[in-house]
Amino acid sequence: MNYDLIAVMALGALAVAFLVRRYWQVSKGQAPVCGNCDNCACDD
Amino acid sequence: MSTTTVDISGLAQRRLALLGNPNCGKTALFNRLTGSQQKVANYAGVTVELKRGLMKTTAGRSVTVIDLPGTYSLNASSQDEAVACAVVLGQSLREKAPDLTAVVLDATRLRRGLRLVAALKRQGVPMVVVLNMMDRVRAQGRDLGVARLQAAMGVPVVEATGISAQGGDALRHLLDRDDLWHQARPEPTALHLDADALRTDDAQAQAWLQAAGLDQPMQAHEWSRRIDGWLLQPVIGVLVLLVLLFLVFQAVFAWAKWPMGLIQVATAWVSEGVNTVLPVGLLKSLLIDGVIAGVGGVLVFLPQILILFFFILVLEESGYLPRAALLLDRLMGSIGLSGRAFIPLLSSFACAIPGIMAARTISDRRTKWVTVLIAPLMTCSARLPVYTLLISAFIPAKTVAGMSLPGLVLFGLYVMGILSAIAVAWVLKLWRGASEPVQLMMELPDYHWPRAKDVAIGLWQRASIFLRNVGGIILALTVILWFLSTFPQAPAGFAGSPIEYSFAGRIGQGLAGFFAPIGFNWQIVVALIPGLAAREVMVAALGTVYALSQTGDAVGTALAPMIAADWSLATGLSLLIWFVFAPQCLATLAVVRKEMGGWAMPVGMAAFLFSLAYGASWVTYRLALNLGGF
Repeated sequence: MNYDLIAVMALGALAVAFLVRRYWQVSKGQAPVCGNCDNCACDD
Repeated sequence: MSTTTVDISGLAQRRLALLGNPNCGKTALFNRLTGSQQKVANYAGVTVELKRGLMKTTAGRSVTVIDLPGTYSLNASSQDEAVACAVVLGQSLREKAPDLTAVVLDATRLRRGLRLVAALKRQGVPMVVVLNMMDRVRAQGRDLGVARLQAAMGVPVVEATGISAQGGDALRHLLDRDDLWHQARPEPTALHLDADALRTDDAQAQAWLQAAGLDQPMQAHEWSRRIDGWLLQPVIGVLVLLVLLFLVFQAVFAWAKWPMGLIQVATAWVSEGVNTVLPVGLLKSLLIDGVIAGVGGVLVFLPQILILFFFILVLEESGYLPRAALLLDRLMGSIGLSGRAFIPLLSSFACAIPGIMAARTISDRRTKWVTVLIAPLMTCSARLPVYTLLISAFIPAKTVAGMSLPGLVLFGLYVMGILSAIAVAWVLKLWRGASEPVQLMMELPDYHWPRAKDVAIGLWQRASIFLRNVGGIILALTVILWFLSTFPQAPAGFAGSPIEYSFAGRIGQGLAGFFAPIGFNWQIVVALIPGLAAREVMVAALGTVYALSQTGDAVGTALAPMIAADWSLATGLSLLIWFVFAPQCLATLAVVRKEMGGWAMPVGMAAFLFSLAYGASWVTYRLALNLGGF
């Protein structure tokens, strides 16, 4: 088994999952569009 | 029989709205009551949306507190004021009417606050009155006679000091009175907001003050007036403003040296550790060339960002910033903007997004449109890593007439952003005509020493925003970029650098032709694409692309010397200018769509600003080449 390849693929999958989750949260209005802070993006 | 205590704090039924004039300390009081850390500043218009939090009364009852944008009257003239008025009058379609409204008054400016109380009383809104900033009243040795004021108005009145630890205790105690929460709210009726009604409210406010023996206005702090005598002079004032800004940018470079060096040493140490522990392979490349070269390359700019924000927070807290708005009001008027555009534009120096949202305080549609269009031209903090990387690569760290040359260039870039925004607004004024001039009405708060705790909270918030970005979006995009820059892997005997064979290399080379006239190579083009998510990602992306492009002894070299060796001075300058103008931030465009209600504005804005960036970079590149900037 090429553990090296498996490790990088797992890290890559995590990165993609993070971005997809963030896009999903923003599109559902559960996270600010910039993802930064709560100062400028409440649920108004 | 045993009893079980159930925490129902998240289900607080009682709802308290905080309403008051701008800059009367509502948000400081909100933070004090709820334990929140919302942004507060010593000028009007910081809160443009409503914020909610939970507080406990003295008896331990939970109350939902709603912090509303400031308003002078119920006659809303802008979007943020309309939100505040609609909520307290029970006319909001999105927010249930509060059971009780706490009208927060700046105790040093009672009359204008009492006009609002009179208007609310006329509408029958259930309320209590909070005299905030009592510390300042006491510092002047005055007694406001709360009992007399309460008797005159027929409304419960308490004292408060939003910035002190026990400053909200009287209000917490008052909110335990059950009768306050069960006042009948009259059926919504038509608002009477004509001139007669406003005159009646003013007369009512004056009558209450007389009844309480408070009809002598409080004097502004003597030394505040003396300082303003100098700082508000048209020539001296503007000179002081320029010198202050200049000193800030000198400090950003001079003070950040050793903490940046420390982060660089730490990054190199981690890189060396990974290099020693892991065998040669993909994982090692991902960690060293992707994560450490990319994320470490951005992390190093944290000290500079914090130093910049330290000065901005100190200027905010001291009360100087509204004076700067006043100084620039005439200039704003001459380019078709009002002084009201100053706060949104100022906020854009931190990030264009809160700046664009703050444009809600502008009632005139055309002025708002122009303000939103030029807000991204203000130099946001995300540009700082890009600017300092390019400056340290291409501008010698020399001292010119006692001033640091890199600091001077950074100051110049900030000034260029401001001047280009002025130029765009001026051209739009010539093209589309100006709106009716709107007089700037802004309260000038007394100067006061910034509180170390507020500055520390502000810095902590900036640091956490930056670190969250680094650990989130930048890390994720860096990992993905590493994949795109590594696969497919080059076959044995491939002549160029392996990255040239990868997806990213091919994309970069495919687009390079379009960017060649402005001097960008394919590595820059590759880095610009993830840089659309946030400008600082560009630095991380360059770090990864160049780390993967290096072979042999060059591996592990810091990014600045690598790009200095690979690019011409003309390319470096062209990229600097690109970042002055280009809207390299998709989040900003998304917020413009939300605020302006459609895609026409963000699409037009992106097309305009990218064209401007391309044109300005082309001129810079050609000029630099012709002047010998190879």
